[in-house]
Amino acid sequence: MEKLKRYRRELADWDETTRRRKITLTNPVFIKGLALAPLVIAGTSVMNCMILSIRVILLLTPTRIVTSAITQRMSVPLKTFFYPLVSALIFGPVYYLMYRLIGRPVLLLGVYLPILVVDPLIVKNFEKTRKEPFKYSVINGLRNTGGFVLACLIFGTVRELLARGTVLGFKVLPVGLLPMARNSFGGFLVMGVICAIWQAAVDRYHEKLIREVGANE
Amino acid sequence: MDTTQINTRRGHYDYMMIALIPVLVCAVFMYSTRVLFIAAVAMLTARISDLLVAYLRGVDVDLNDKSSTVAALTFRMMLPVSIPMYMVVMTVAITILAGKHVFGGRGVYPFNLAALAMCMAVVNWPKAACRVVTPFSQVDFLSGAARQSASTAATIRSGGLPYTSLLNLFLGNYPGSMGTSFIIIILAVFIVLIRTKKVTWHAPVAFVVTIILIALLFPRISGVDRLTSIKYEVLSSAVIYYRVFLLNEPATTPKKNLAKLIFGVVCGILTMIFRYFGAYEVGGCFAILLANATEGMWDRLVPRLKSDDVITIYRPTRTTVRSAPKKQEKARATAIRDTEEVKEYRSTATTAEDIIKNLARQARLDEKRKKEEAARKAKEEEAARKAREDRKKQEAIDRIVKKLEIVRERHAAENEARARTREERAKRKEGTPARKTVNSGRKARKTKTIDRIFDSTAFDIIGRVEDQIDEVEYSTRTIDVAELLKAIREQEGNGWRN
Repeated sequence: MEKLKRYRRELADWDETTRRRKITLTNPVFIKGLALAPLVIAGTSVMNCMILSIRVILLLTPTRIVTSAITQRMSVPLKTFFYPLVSALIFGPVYYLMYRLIGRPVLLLGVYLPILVVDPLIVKNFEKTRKEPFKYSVINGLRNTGGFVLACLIFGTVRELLARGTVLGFKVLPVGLLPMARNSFGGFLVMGVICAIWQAAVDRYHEKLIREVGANE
Repeated sequence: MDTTQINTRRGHYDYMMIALIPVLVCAVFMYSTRVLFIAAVAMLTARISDLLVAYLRGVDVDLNDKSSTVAALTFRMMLPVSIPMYMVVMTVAITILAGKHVFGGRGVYPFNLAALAMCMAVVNWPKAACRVVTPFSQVDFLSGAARQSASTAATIRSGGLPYTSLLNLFLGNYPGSMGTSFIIIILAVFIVLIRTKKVTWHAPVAFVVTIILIALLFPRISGVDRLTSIKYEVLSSAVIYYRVFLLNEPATTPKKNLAKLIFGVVCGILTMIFRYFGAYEVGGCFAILLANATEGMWDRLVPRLKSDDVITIYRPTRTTVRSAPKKQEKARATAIRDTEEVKEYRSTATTAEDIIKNLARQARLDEKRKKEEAARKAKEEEAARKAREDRKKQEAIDRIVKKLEIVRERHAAENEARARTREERAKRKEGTPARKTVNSGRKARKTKTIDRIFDSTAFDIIGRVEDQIDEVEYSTRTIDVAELLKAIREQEGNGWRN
């Protein structure tokens, strides 16, 4: 019964449900298509994807929180300038910290690490016409970060497995089934397939809710 | 019969599958029975991929769709016999899923599936896909292990000369892919397909002629005469195979003959560019993929000319005159086809009378179009005029309603005052009946005041009537605005203006 109640509640306010469950139902990468460029080009292995994830963890939520705090007493259009500005200012210390912690692999990502500063994943909130309350900036920032990290790790694992037959350098398959996956073209292909599967899973879940609730009413 | 409709999809794939059988037999003879094994695996993978997509999309399986199977067979013949099996399976599966069904499936995919599969195989496993096996050498059935060597295309690309006789080039007796080197068989198949009208000559011939011309003008092989350069360019690099099996795929080639010619030329130019500057040996496949992207464009750009047209009138100002071939005598009888929606037609005429008739018909169509245009404009003007009148009426009604509201408020205030007066009078009546005459005088004064409030508008008359009723009966009844508005509109319809 508890499950049914939950289903009914979720179905009654499906928009709110999807808004809250950013990790699964509205994943920023697989459903919204954010941060595709750095992920497809630079996320060729699990290690690279982990570096990208750490970068987003350190950058996304702090940028939203700081910008939200600063722009509370400002007019809405000024947000446009503050999001990339704050993101760029936070990037410096974060990059230094990551270089100290991880070392040279950070350099392998090239321009696709700093380019995250202006990625819609980080700065897309400036498009909104209303100000984001401080509380929601923390909650939504953490949810989006969680969604990106999950997507990043799934994508990196699948891609490395297909391209090299390994996961984090450990051999899992005797050969790489699709060496092309390490290229950008192959990356887009893999990303497309994962996005399609993810979208189908979300649709199935929605259908399941409708079916379950409909059968018990 | 319209020659542009020869390249129909009906039965095309069946014929292509049959056409591949002689090539398959030669491949089995030259290499090993592993060719059959690879063919079976490729076809099975293609079919399973189709079934999988049908299951995922929740649609019925299209049993008549043989395009995947033919593409798998065509692709398989471009590979060396030593190719590992998982590469074939992966390539075919991804090609069918990402190259065919993502774009909508049967008949609507934009890129040639066999060329796409070959490009994917070469990008994924360049060594395995490009290193070829010498004919009649030992090949392991399961693993495909065999003595490999560089292909003639690779030799030319690296600046060398293959040194293969013309006879061996025609017979395919040199290290090559499974099915692309049997020139004589492929040419025979091409002739049969042409005779059965399942393919047309336009794109293949344009393709080969372009390659010959470019090889003649800009020879890639140095140190030999130009004819030798042409020989290797055309006969040793799967050009003949491409032109028969890849350039006649109905879904990815233009539909009009002139467009096909242009398409073949573009393919030829791109192929030579890829050979000169490309990173891979199979430049032809990349060229076909690139040219496929322009396929629809040629069909639209090339004027819709039929070979049997003598006069084709597309617009009143544009007339093209051409000579008709004798074979199309029957087609002339079809004469004029016009479409009312697009207001254009095609015609076939041989005599001056026919030409005059066609021109007259075109003039009639133009006149009809002008009349329709004029009627449409008149209708629009009428609608605009009506809208203006309606707007004016609405504004008048709004003004009346506003005035009415003011009057009603005043009337209500007067009623209240009157009611108070009545109450006071009743109280006084109980005590002092002698003041009756004074109250009557006040009442008369109030009636005059009410009369002054109402002006002479038509709607104030209604208010005045109501007031008279009040005066007589001392009623507290109020005016119903909706009913009044309805009455006003009716009166206004009868010409009663403010």
